[in-house]
Amino acid sequence: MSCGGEHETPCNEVLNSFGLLIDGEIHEISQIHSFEVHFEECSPCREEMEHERVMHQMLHDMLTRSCHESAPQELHDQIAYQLAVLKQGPPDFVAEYRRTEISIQVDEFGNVEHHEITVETNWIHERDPHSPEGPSQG
Amino acid sequence: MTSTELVKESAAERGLRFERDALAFTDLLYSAALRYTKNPHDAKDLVQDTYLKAFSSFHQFEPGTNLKAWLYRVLTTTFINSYRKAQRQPMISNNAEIEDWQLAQSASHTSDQGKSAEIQALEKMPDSDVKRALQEIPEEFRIAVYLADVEGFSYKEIAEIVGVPTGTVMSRLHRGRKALRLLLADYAKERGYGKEVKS
Repeated sequence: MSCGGEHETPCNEVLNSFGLLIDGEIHEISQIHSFEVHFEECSPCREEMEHERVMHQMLHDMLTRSCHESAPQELHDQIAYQLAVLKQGPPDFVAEYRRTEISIQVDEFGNVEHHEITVETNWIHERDPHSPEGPSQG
Repeated sequence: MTSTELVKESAAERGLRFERDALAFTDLLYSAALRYTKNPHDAKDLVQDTYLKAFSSFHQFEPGTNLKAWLYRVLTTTFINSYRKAQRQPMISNNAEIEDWQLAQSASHTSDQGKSAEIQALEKMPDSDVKRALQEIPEEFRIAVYLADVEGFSYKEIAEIVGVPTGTVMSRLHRGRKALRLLLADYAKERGYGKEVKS
């Protein structure tokens, strides 16, 4: 179309597929083949494609070069510290709650007899951090 | 005859495996976080959050699959869900996105001068300008371009990392690269890169 020539695959379609072609995201062999045929016939598209490849490669090189950073030591240390804390698992002391609910039915005359909830908190020493426990032995 | 071997990994062993395999990506994740958040302070926080989340859900990671992509998914979703909200960045509407990139593609052949000017401009571009351009394009585009062009992820991988369909990745990438090139061309013009080389 844009080069004035007659092609089975129009220039427009080829030009619009450059991104996919360069990224290797066209997986249909027949489609790849039709583009190859087009590039053989149409020099403007071929040159455009070569230019796109060069530009893409340049952009890629620039981006990878300029975006390459090293994390500050401080960050490495913070992560290591936080992971160490997490790896210790839950704290050695856990709370055990005992909830007791006493409820006595309402009688046929509508009188509420009794209702009571108690919560007891008990701090227990759950485990020794040096001897991991759990249902691992089967 | 079949024999089944059951390997059990304790939490402690998994923790060690995490440290051994995942911590190697700290620099990479930090580089990405810097581009996502645009500042070192938030980038550090984001990477730290990412590792904490990744550690606590590491049992969900399927060994043998791509750990780097998995970590990037944690990083990207953490960023989208918390940091973007905090930074109050505007979102682009998703509906507009797909149609208008197809409309916008008025495909044409570029002149030879246009081509060489574009290449010359890029050749002289300092890293600082590349970073600046990347920060100026909309966030969805920036993430897509970063994941594709810096990290080399495929469309499918990016779709999984970002949590959008492949078609959306394609459109964001296309528009992002285009926007990036236009910005870089502008910078080149400002700095007069194109002209001097010409004759």
